[in-house]
Amino acid sequence: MPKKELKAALKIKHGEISPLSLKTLRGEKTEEEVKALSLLTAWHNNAKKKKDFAGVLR
Amino acid sequence: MINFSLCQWLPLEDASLFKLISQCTINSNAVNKRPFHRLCSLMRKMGAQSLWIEKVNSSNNADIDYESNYLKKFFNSHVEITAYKFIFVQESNAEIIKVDPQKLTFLSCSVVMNYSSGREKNSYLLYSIVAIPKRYDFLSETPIPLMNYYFHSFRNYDFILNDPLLGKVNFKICGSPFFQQNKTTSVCMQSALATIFNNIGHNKKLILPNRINELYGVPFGRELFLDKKGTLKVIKKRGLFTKELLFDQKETMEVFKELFKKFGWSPSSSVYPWMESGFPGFIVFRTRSTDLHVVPIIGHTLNTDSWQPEADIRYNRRVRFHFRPVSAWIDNFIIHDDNFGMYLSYPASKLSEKKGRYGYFVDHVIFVTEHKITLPPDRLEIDLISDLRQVFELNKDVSEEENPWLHRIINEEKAPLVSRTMVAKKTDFLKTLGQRDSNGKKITKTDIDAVGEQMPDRFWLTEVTLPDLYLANKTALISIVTQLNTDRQIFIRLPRLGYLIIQNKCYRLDLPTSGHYKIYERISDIETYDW
Repeated sequence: MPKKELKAALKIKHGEISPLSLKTLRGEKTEEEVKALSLLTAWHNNAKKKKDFAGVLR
Repeated sequence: MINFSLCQWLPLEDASLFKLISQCTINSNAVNKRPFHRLCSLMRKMGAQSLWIEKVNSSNNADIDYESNYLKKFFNSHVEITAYKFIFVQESNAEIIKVDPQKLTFLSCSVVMNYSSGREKNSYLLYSIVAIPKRYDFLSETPIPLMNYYFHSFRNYDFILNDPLLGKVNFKICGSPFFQQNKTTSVCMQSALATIFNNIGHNKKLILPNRINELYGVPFGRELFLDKKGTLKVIKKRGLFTKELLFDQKETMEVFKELFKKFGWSPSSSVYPWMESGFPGFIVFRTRSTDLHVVPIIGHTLNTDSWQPEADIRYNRRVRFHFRPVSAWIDNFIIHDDNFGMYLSYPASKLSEKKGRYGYFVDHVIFVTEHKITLPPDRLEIDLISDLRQVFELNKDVSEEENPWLHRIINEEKAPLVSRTMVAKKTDFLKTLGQRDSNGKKITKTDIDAVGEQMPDRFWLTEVTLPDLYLANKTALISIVTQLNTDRQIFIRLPRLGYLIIQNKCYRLDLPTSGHYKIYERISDIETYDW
C-alpha cells in the first residue's frame, strides 16, 4: 500500500488524529541508563578489537 | 572384530552397549570413547529398543570415502579403515516387522570410524545425528519432549539404511549433528563449525569437520589449530556474518557487575537474544592456562521455578522501571562437546565466573548470522526503558475500567517488567499479531496490513510483560518492533493501543485487544513442553 493511501486509511479507521512527533515517544534517560549504554557500547567495540582467542583451541 | 550381527535388527533389551563400544573401536587408552558412551546412554534414555549395524566403506558410503581420502592425503600413506553405521530405533523387533521401515521411529544415525596408518590409529564418531531428545511416557505410551528444553539450532537430515532384503530405506532425523574431533586433522573448532554450517545451511550432504580445513585452505599434512582470525575467515567464506561477545577481560566483569547491580543484567542476558533468534553460536572457554575449547550452542533450558529472579526482584529494590531479561530464568545452554557427546547442559552461570578461577572461564561467545546485524539487543533493551517510561507517562491517566492491563502494568510496583528480545520474521510476527488475545479479541486485518506495510522482513522484537504472565501463561502485554541496524522503532503495541511510526511521525492506533498475547514463537518442526 503506498504511504499516502496508508495514511489515508489510518485516518479513516482511527479518525482525524494528527500524528505525534516521534520525539513524544522518546523518554529522557537517567544517569544510570546513560552509563549502562556507554559501558555496553564499549564492551561490544572491545570484542572486535580483540584479535585472537586467549590460547590454542584443542 | 565385531560379534554383533550386521544388517539385521538387534534387540537391545539384553545387549551390552559397553561390549558393543569396545568391539567397534580400537582398544587403546589413547582413544576417547566418551562420545560413543554418551550416544548409547542417550539411546537408553530415549527408549531405543533395536539397533541396526552396517559395515560401511569407501565404495558404499560417500562420507567414509571423503574421510578416508582426506586421511590418506594427510598421512601421505596407506590408511586402513574400518567403519560402522549405527541406527537406533524405538520399536522392538516384534514391532519392526509390522511397520513400514520408513515409518520406524529413528532415534539416531551415527558412523564410527577406525583408522590406522603406520603408528597412527584412532577411533571416533565421524558423525552422529541424534533426534531432538524425548522421553517415553508410560501413561500416554508416546514419546514426549523434555520439559522446558528449547532447541534453536537443528534441522532435518536424510539418511539411508541398506537392507539386504528390502534395499535402500530412506529416513529422516530432526536434530543437530555432532562431530567428534579426531585430534589429527580436526580439533574442536572444526567440529563446532561443522555443526553450525550444517544447521544453518540447506546442503544435502553433511559437511564434515575436514571440510572446514578445505574452506580455510590449509595444506595437507599440516595440523590445523584455528585461531580467531582463521575461524572468522572460514565463516565469512561461507557468506555468513558473526557477532562476537567478549568475556575474557577483567573490564568485562566490571561492566557486568555494574549492569547487574543497576539492571539485573547478567552476561547470559547479552547472549540470550542471539540464541533465541535461532542463530547458531559457540562458546570458547579456557581449559588450561594456554588451552581453549569450543562447544556449539544448540538451545537452552528454562527453570520457571527459579528462586534467583524472584529474590533479585525482592531484595534489589531498584528494579521498578528496569527490565528483567527472561534470561534470568535460563539455567543451562544445551551444547555439543566433541570430547564428551551431544545435547549436554552447560550452566549459564559459567559466563559469570570470575577471571582467574579455572572454572572453564569463558573467553568468547560468537554467533553466526545470515544477515549483518549491527544493533546489539542488550543496548536496545536498556535504550527502550526510558522510551517505555515515556509511553507510560503519556498514558498515566488510563483507568482500570477503561484499560485494565495497561493500568496494571503502569502501576505495578512490586514486579519488574520482564523483557525478551529476539530477531523476528515479519510473517511469523504478523501471524502472532493476528491471533486472539486473552479476552478473545483480534486486531482487524486492515490494522495488521497497515503495520505489516511498515515492516522489513526481519527486525528486533522486544516483548515486555509481567513475570507471572511470562512464566505461567507465556503471554506478553507489550510488543516493540525495532529495525535491525538502527534504534528506530517501527511499531509499539500495548493493551488497546498501538503506535505506528511512519516517516518520523507516530500514528496512534486504537485497538480492540485489551488483553495479553501469546509470546512470539518461530515456526518450528519440533514440539516443546513447558511447565
